[in-house]
Amino acid sequence: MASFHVTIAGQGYDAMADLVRAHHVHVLHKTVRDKGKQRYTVDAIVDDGAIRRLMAAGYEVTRNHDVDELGRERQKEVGQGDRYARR
Amino acid sequence: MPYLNVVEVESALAVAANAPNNAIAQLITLPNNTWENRTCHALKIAHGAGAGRVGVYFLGGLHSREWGSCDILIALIEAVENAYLNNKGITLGSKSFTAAQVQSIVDTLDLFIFPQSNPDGRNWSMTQEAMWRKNRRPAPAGDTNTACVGVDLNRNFDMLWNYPKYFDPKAPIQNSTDPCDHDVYIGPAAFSEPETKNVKWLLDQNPNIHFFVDLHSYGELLMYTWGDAVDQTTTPGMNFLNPAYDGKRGMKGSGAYKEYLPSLDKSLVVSLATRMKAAVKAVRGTSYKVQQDFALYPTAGTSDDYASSRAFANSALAKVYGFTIEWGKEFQPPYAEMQNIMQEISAALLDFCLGVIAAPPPAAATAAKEAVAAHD
Repeated sequence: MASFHVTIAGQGYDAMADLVRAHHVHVLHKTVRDKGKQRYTVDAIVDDGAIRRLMAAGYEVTRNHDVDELGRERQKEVGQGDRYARR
Repeated sequence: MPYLNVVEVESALAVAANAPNNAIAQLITLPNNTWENRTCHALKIAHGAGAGRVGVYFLGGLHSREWGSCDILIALIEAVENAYLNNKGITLGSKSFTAAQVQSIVDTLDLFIFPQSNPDGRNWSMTQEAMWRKNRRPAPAGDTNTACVGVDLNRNFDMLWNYPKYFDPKAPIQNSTDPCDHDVYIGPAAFSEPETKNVKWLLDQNPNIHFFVDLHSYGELLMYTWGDAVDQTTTPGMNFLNPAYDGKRGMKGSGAYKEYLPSLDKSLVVSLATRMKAAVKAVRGTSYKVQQDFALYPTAGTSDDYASSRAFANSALAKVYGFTIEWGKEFQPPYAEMQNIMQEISAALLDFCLGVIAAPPPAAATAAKEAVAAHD
């Protein structure tokens, strides 16, 4: 099942706390941002089903990218061999 | 240039400890091999010896998917060695450090740099599952779910580790006692993992370490303790050691539990974090935010809070000021962007060192004793 990097917006402390307490979302907690007027955003990695459930619960969810697809792209940027071997 | 793979990080450390770098650098072999039997190394950079030298500890790579932390610390090591041994300065984007500043860092401080604390997890993330976060502790017998492998190392340190006991049941804490939690399993015991034991070992072996910075991604944040609750400076008895507050930590709000941080400590950590912010900005204008670890979601069992907690829990131990940097805007930026971030965070860490040199000597554990006494 594909996983997506998303940004979740909610209204008030309890709504954001409920992402963890009630919806069991693995939020990337250091990304929480206070947007003012009790509106917060936080990033998370979730699947399609979770996106649907969160939207049904009143959260605004912005889908950023497929993390597996992007991960495979980034893995192409990992060194092969040992660039220090000849030093 | 690509990200350093796991072998390359270790090779880079070996080169960094070879001649001529061995004039100022010493390779340290960590005592605990990983679950996949890898041996980890740290590097000490210092010129001179003797009492009164302050140790500064930079840690990277606890979380597997945050690849750039190892690359940042290797780049920093190479820059410092090259500059010191050739009596040159260091230029990072628009930010420069003079040769005299580099000399003062190496001549005054003992730098302990442990770039790759979780090589098993890094290797898995770089070759299999890019978003892997934990180490590679084998799954419990009979569990075939791949998520049952591993422990979140930054939930395995002995600071409020047993969070169900310490936190309000309603606290939105992102820790788990489920060994099959994909991301945040805390492990079967505090310091159950060889990787966290290694981090602790460096602190235990070097009591002159008074400053600890753990590199993570992402968020563009420069953070100081504590992570379990909002800081307060007025009530020493309200602290993580006091059982009267068990079951009450981790909430936000006017009547909520708050964690004690002596006011002098708070001034120092805020001032050092603010220095780092200015250094990051000077490289290419990026604006990081200085904040306490606790924002909305509390944490427990983290490295920086553990480092900071040691002297409070045991006044015989050295006082340590703990920090976490959350660099960048994504876990694995394209490497071209990662190189810019490497410059920014290197600048932050170098300026942090200059701030340590300029700071007053670390306070003895007076404040810690005060906090402990307040609930005895």
